[in-house]
Amino acid sequence: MPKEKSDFAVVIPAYNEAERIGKVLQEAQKYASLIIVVDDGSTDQTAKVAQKFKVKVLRHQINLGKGAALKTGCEAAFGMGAKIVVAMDSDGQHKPEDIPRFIKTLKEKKVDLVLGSRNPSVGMTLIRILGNKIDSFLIARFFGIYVTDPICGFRAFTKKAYQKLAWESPGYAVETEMVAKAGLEKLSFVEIPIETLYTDKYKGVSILDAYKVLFDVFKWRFLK
Amino acid sequence: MITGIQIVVIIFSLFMFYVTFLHFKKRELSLGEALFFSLLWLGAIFLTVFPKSIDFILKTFRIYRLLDLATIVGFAVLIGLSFKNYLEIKDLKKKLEKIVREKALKEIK
Repeated sequence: MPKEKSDFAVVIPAYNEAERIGKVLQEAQKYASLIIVVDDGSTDQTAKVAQKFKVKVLRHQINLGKGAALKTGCEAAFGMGAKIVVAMDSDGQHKPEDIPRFIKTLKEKKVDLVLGSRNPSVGMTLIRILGNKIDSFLIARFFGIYVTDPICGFRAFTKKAYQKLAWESPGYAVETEMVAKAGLEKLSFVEIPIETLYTDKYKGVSILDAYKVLFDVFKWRFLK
Repeated sequence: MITGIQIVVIIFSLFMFYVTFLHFKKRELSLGEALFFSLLWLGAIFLTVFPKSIDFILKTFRIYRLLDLATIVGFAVLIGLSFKNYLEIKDLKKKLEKIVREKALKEIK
C-alpha cells in the first residue's frame, strides 16, 4: 500500500455490494492511500464490510443513486485535500490495478479527464454494445465530443474539472452527463482501454435505465 | 327521466362530500378548503340534476353535451395536476438529496 500521502483519492459508490466490495477494496488499497466508499443506502452489510478496510466510509441514509453517491464521495475527497479523483465501481467490474494508469495518463497528458473504455468484445451483450453506440453518437451529435464508452464508470478527473462537470443526475445517467458536460465545457480528455469483468448481468444499468439515459441526453440538449 | 350516469355522479358526489367532511373534522382540511371542495361536489350534483342550467356555456363553446364539457374539464384538471406534481416531486427530490448527502458528509467514518 502506498505509504506517502498522495494527491488523489479513489471514490467508490456502492449499493448492496457486501459480497463483492471486500475484494475490490483489498486490491484497491495496494494502489491508493485514500479510498472513499459511499454506501448509497444499502440494505445489506456493505458499509460494515467496507469499514474493515483502511478506507473512509460515508453512508447515505436512503438510496439516492450513483450520481448522488459519486458527488458525495468527490466532495469528501476534495475536502480532504485530494486534487484528483478516480471513480470506480464497487462490483468488481473494474480492476484496481488500472488506477495508477489513470493517474499517470492524467498527469502526463495534462488533461482534465481520463475516461476508461471497455473492450466491447469481452462480456458485453449486443444490447449493451448497441446502447453504447447510440449514446456515443447522440453525445457527439449534441455536445461535440466523441467518446467510445460514455457509460464506463472507471474515470479520473481533476478538482477543476469536477467543478465544471457539476452533474445533476442522481442516478446512472451521471456518467453520460459527465461526458456531455465535458463537451459543453470543452474539457480536455483522453480515453484509455481497460479490461472489465461482468459479474452480474441483472445489476447495473438495465434497459429501463438506458431508456432514461437516452431521454436525459435529449433533455440536456434541448431543455436546459 | 334520470339516467344511470346521473345516478352515479350524484352518489359519487355525495360520497366525496362526506369524505371532505371527515377530513375537515380531522383538521386535515381548513374551513376554506372544505367549503371549496363541498361547493365543487354540490355543484356537480346541481349540474347533474339540472343539466340545462349551463346551456349558455355549452352554446358559447359549441359543446353539444354536458358530459363532453365534463370530460374536457376533467382532462385539463388532471394534466394541470400532473404538471404541478412533476414540479413538486422534482423540488422534493432535490431537497431530499441535499439533506441526505450533507448528513453523510458530516458522519464520515
